[in-house]
Amino acid sequence: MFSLFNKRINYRIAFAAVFLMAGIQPALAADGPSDSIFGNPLALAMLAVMALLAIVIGVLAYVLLGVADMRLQERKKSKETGATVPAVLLLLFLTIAPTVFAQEETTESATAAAASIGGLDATSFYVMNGVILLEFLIIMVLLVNIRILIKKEQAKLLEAGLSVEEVRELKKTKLNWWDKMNRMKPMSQEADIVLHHEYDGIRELDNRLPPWWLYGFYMTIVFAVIYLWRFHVSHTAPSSEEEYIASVTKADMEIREYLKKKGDAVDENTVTLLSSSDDLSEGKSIFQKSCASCHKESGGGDVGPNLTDDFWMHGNDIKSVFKTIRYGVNAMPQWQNQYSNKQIAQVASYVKSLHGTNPPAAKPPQGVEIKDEAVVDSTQAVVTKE
Amino acid sequence: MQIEKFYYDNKIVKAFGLATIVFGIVGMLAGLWAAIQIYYPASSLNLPATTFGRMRPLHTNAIIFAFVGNASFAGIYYSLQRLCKARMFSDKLSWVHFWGWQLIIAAAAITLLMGKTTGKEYAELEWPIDIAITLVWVIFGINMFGTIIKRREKHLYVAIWFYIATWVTVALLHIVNSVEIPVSFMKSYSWYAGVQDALVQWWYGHNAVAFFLTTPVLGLMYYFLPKAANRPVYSYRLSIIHFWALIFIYIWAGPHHLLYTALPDWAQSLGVVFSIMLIAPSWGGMLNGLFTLRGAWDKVKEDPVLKFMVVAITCYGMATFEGPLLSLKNVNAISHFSDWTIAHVHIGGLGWNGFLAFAILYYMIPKMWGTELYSKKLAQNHFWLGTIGIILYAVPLYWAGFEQSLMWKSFTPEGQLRFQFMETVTNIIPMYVSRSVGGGLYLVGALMMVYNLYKTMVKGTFIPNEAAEAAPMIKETHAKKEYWHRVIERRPVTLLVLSLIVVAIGGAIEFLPTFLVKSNVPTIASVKPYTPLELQGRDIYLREGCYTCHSQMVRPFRDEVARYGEYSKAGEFVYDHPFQWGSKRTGPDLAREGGKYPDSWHYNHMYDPRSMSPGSVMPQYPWLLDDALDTASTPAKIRAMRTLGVPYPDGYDKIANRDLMQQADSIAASLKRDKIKTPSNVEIIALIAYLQRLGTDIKTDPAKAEAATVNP
Repeated sequence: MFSLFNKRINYRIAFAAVFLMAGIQPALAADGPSDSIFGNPLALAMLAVMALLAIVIGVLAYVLLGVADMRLQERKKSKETGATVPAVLLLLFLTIAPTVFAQEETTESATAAAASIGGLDATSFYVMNGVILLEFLIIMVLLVNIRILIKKEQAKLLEAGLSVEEVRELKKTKLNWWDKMNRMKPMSQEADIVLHHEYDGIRELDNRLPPWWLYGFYMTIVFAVIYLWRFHVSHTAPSSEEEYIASVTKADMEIREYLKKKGDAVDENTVTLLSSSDDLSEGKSIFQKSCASCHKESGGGDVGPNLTDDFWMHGNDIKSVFKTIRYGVNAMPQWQNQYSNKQIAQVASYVKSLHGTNPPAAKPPQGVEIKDEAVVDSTQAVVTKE
Repeated sequence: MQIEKFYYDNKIVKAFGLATIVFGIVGMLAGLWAAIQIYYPASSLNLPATTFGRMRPLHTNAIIFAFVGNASFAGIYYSLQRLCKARMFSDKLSWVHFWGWQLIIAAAAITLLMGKTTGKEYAELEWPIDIAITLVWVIFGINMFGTIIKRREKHLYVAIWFYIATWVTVALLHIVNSVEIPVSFMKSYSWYAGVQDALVQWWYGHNAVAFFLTTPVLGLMYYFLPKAANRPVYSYRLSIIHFWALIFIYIWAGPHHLLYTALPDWAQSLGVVFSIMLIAPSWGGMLNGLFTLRGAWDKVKEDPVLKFMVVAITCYGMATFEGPLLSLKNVNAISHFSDWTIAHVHIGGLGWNGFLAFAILYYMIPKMWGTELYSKKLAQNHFWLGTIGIILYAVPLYWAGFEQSLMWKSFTPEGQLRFQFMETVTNIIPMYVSRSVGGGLYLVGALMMVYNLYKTMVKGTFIPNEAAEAAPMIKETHAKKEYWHRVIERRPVTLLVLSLIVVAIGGAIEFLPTFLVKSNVPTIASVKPYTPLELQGRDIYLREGCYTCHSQMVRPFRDEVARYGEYSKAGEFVYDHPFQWGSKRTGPDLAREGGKYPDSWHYNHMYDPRSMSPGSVMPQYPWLLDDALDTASTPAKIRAMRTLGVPYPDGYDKIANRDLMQQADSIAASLKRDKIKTPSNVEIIALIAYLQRLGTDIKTDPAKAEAATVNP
């Protein structure tokens, strides 16, 4: 009677955990995909860990209850009743644990974002970590308990004067936690479940399906239904495109805030020629890394035009050069995604500093002639050409 | 009842076994060579045939179809006879199957190295070889079913269910994915284009793993594991449930190779959920294998066969748990296109397939030569070397994949990409080195096995025909009530038909809407067919296997849009026969390559990639600069494309070469401006034309438009 009750309650716990997770997901995400914590990989990873640990707890509890139950019945035979207390305590603990877990999860949605950790608000982050820690503790306690009970069991057998071999033999008729977890028959009873056929000497047993496997299978099916529902029926989960738009919008906001704070807002309208040796050497190193393959290390030009002569295709003032590098022109790639505006200003200034260096094997002139003394911008350059 | 005497055919098993060993070593060598090229590009020898883009298809095809294929055939021919208590249906068919398959492998090796390829991963072989595969596969099927029909054992054992499902599904996959229109002998275009081609290809690619590398091998496990351990199979009902669930669910999971691509979202979601549901059916096989060893674990310590099997099954369990995790969109966003995937498949390839093949060889060869294994100790050493090899191979690649992917995604606070592509490559070179060391150890282990098995053969005497006896099958009526599945087990044809129905469902539900419902691939007006020169260039791109290192699929991620440009749309690929989205980014994505660099950059880059991008690991392609473009093929190619529905005008095939030369001349002229003198009829010109076209159909760049107004 007691053992039957145990088993049932254990499944119930497992199922409760599944539906709990399943039920919470859409509820939390209902307020739109953008501010759902389910768009956050960290949150999802932590939820997955939480779920996994919950399953482990369920399995271990099942085993422990089984072992404890065995001891309980033995004690009952010997008219001892003490063991019920830990068993009952354990049951209590197990029924409470998921509830606590549930309560803590629901509080997350209520807390407002204070500080952000990995894209999660701090409260959620710590609460989730707390839950994971708690689950680890529970697992430790369960493991220690199982170990103690198993040790006691073995010691008792050895005490009873059995040799190690005999204990091993006896084990074949008894079930350990592993066998119980998988609902295995004791090895000695194998004859009961062997099927009446053989293929080239291979016989088959008819062991029952390991329960954790079967319920795991059901859980993945439940997952599939909820997943399809959220993405294609309720639309509480973002499509690839929505996800993209959300991430870009968020990043733009963060960048704007960052730049505002930093006060570094150089762009093609405000850039000036830099001349400090720090800036130029920084510019030089970027030039060597990203520009030299087309313009040669000397700037004399190869695939790209010569940068040291008086001929320019897109203007030679610092603002034009900055713009050409930042946005690219025709075959010249854009660099705005690789380098910050400050870095582009450094490279542009370095390029300007190469003027008149007359490197060997330079490329013949391309573009229009602009004398360096004349400060002209690109639109005027066009006029000159005409 | 009359007991009948008969003989098992060991000769055919021996032939397939030897082929397994030979092609296993060849395939591993090709893999090792390709692995070394990634960090030491000069090892391509600057020869077309030995360059990575051709070595990699050779490696994958050799391992999948030659090594695992032959191992499966050896195991099936060995076990099927014994499980049916009958000699193979026809010795003649057995040998036609054997030599047919080896000829296909030889043809594959030659044509792949020559650059004859369809450009679809794991289905690279050209149409004449595809037809040969179909024929040989049918012969194998007739031989297998003939044996099953004349069996002396009433019921089919679980291993045979897996063999049957393998046969019928591989036939289906191969035929559907290989529908292509021949242009000439050894050149064809895929019937499908773009998104549809991608869906069909990965339905095939994923299920090649499922039904060529998994189900036949599970069948082998079900025979050889209980035999070697001398233990009954753990659970009959687990066999039934995991068999049917596995073959039904597996077929749906293909789209998980296309997450975040231009494939419609609904198809991606099906790929995700079916992958997750696949965990339990896959693990059912692992559990039934490992639990069968219950009470025999002391034997595992002694017996190398069981040792290999235990690690193989464990690797199977790990890979089939990891696979579904990689199918979750947020994990896939990190893992896809990186070395993570390569590590994942090698847990399956080296661990599951390799170790199981070794196990059955170690089991069968002493048995067929009537002796004991020459050296158990050598086999144990092989085991340890192989295991260490797997670890040294996989762990660094997991690390490399994860780290590189995070570097790709990393931004500075100012909003710039933190790393250039090259920096992310240079950073993981040490991991590439370690990977090839791991692979090298694994190969050394395999060579130890070759020596050990050779010595075993010398020690024993081969038994070409093994005597056996059994009572003939009696046709009794089954009046008594029995378990429903037992009925199916008596009826091989029912089993075959049911398997076909079960695997056909998933494919049909995914394909039909993608092909029939227009909204799944929205058309884009500005997308035009390739020019003749671009088409020729594209064929060179295929021939050199560029898709083995470069993707053409910008996913809708902030970092990819910043790095490569606007994310890819389904409508952009409607003229791509075959699609070239790729699966790995050893080099950067090329979907928006057009117009990024000058023509002369590409010219220099193909001649020596390191001159244009220092630190690059791309091989050199000097022959493209000299080899003349085969313009004679242009009309046939245009005609084939027209048949496939690409809207070239009527009679365009006759004048296509005129346009081709015009475009080629203009590219040669642009190169000349950059001091490069080249005739315009060389292959590099066509390739440049193709590369400069990529992704430009819908390229709208505000800065460029602005620049255009500034410069008249």
